[in-house]
Amino acid sequence: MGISLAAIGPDSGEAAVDLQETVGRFHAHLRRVLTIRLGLRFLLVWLMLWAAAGVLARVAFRAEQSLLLWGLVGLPLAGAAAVFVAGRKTPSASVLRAVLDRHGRLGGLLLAAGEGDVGQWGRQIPLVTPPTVRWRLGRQAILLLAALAFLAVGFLIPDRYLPLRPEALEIGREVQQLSEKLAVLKQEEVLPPEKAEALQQDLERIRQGALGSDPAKTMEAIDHLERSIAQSAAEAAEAAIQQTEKAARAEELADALQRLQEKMDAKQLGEAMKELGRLAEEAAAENRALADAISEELKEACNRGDLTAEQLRELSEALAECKGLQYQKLDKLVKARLVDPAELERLERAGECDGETLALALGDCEDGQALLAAIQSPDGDGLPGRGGVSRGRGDAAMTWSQGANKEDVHFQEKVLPPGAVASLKASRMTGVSAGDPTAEKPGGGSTGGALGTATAGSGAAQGQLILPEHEKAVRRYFERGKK
Amino acid sequence: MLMQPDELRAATALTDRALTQLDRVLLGRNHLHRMVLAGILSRGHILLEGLPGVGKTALIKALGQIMRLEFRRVQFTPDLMPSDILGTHILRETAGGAREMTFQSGPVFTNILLADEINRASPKTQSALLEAMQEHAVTLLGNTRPLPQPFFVLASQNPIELEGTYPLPEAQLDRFLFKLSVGDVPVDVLEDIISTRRRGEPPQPDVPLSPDDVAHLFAAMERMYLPRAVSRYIARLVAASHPGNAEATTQVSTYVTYGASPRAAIAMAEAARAYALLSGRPSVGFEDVRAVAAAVMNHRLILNYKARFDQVGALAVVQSLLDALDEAGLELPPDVQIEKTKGTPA
Repeated sequence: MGISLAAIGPDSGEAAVDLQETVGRFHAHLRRVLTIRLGLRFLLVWLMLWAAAGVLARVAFRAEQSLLLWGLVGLPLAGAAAVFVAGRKTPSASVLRAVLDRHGRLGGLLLAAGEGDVGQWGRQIPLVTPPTVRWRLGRQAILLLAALAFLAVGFLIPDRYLPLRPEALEIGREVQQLSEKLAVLKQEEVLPPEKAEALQQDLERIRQGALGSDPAKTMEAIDHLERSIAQSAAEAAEAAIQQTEKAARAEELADALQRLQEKMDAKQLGEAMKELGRLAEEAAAENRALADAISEELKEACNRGDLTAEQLRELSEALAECKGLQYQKLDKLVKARLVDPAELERLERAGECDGETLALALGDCEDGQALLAAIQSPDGDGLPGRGGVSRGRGDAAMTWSQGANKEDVHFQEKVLPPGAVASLKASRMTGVSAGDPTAEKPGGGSTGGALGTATAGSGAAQGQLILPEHEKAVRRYFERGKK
Repeated sequence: MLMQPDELRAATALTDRALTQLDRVLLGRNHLHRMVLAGILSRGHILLEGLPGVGKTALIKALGQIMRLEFRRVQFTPDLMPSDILGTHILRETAGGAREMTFQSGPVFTNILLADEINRASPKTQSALLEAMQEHAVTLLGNTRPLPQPFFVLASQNPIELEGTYPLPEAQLDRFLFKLSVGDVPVDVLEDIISTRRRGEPPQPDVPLSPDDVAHLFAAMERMYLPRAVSRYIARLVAASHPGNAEATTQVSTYVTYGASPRAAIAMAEAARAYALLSGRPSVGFEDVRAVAAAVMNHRLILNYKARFDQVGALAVVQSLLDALDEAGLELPPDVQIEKTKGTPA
């Protein structure tokens, strides 16, 4: 990077440009050196901060390694800062001209040439070669390597060496299951949308407030919510069965009347049709789909007691569809494990239609009054083939026979196992481990409990001491990280 | 515009001739001769310090002869009075028999005044030179009389540790452009003196400068170019000699009570111009400043008692400043360095 200033003078504009170029090149070179130096320095500081934050995030919050990659954002920022600061710290052109003058031992001639006309001296100024810029990197390089190593430690800490957060209680699976159940109840209109939303919010609050230090509280809250949901589902199932039964009774009567429309006298037929209208109205009162299916004309015909064969068939079909909808609803609740499958069988039995028997009974009866009275009974249990232990005519006389003697009869005393909540409250945390438990040979462990000899962080547990009733809880505990 | 090569060459020929003459008269004192001539070209007063017999008087006497300037010598003694130097009014009888007070000028009315062993005179007598050195005039009984031009005081003093000396006050020291130390000469030079000089008498200058030559040299001095970067370096040097300045060195902070005055900066700029002229350059460079800095500043720094205890002199303090300050004002991080020219002190 040499330059001849031999032509600098009044008639040597080109050489003057060369002088400017030389100073400019020296300035740019020095600025590059300072930029790289400052860039490395800023990079070093950023790496240190990044590594410290990374290790802290990994150890304290178990942050994912991918999350630490956000630190890459700081690299271009460090570069930009280095360019900016180096630009401000690079000496000015006049200072660098003085450096060149000193380096070339020009006795101020180069300075004078930069400040004004030097006349003939321009041809006598010798070549100027900018001095070498030396930068000692040693200490900074060592620190940079140390920072990189520190950062690598932050990235490469295995999960098994990270301490667990004792306050974290993983209840994601339970929350998801309850959320799915809530969604089914909301979809089937078992719960009003407002209540379903409120329950969902309660569930979210439970999830956020789940603390490992007090699992009993969380589990108790989840159990309570689950019971509440199950109660709503059970009530919905019972209502579906009741509606199905009412619809089935009306459908039976409608089918019977279709068959006996020609045989029965007009008075009986009218009353029976009015009764059919009442039963259909009752069923429709609790079922909006059925109410929509029964037209006003059909209702008026029922009230008048002069349903045509076609209207009877239409009514029968609407009632059958109502039964089908109730079945579908209960089937969904069963599949969502909200209701016992036995309830579905109950619903099927409630919806069984024995119209032919009823028709025979109505046809064989001379006046049909008794059967009509049976149909008109409050709950319809007077119909043939109905009745049970808990159902029957209210005015039926109770029969007592073979009475039992209470003397010398005592309840058998039995020690009940402690409740799940009580045992959780009495539990004491002895340590946590992220690894799978290692089963040890029987006989080598303690007799103090399932986790009595487990050491914090060791992952060891006595396999044979985990009782069956605890197995599910233990599995859920160790699988919480996999989710 | 800078002084052009032809003009400079003529001036340089004169300075070279003067230096050659001085070197021939006084052997082995080349650097001292260069500094003395630089002081003369700067129109400054010079204080020479050295033990008796090292050639101080011979040097000044030879300089007067070479430059063909009127030369007078005053031997300072403790009983020397100011009137012995400046002159006095005496009562004279005129031709008509009347009596009147007539001014009888003292030896100060000359071009070159050699104040020999100036620190042997009392402070009162030393101070009599203050106005003459600064104003180039003498005031007696209300009448101010200008001194001949050019006017130089070349004083010699014995080291102040000697018996019967009065250290010069700071105000007077500050009026000397240079304080030069005249040390011992090497054995080879001594041998030459003994061999070539009968009773040590120096040869007479054979080609002295004419008054026109001297005028030409002073005119050349007026055209010496001082770049801004160099003048800033001078200013930084002088400012850094004050404790508390941002660029002051540890030695300055530790040993200096008062730093150099602005007059020192002016003197340094002039001396650097003269040194550049002696070097045959039309502009002043950093090396010229470095060459004259010690001579300009060493008698202007007022050191504290700690310097005396640690036996640290003003020259060491000035050298620390020259070592520490970057001439170009380049401020780089410690781990980034620019290669210095070979021979340039780090």
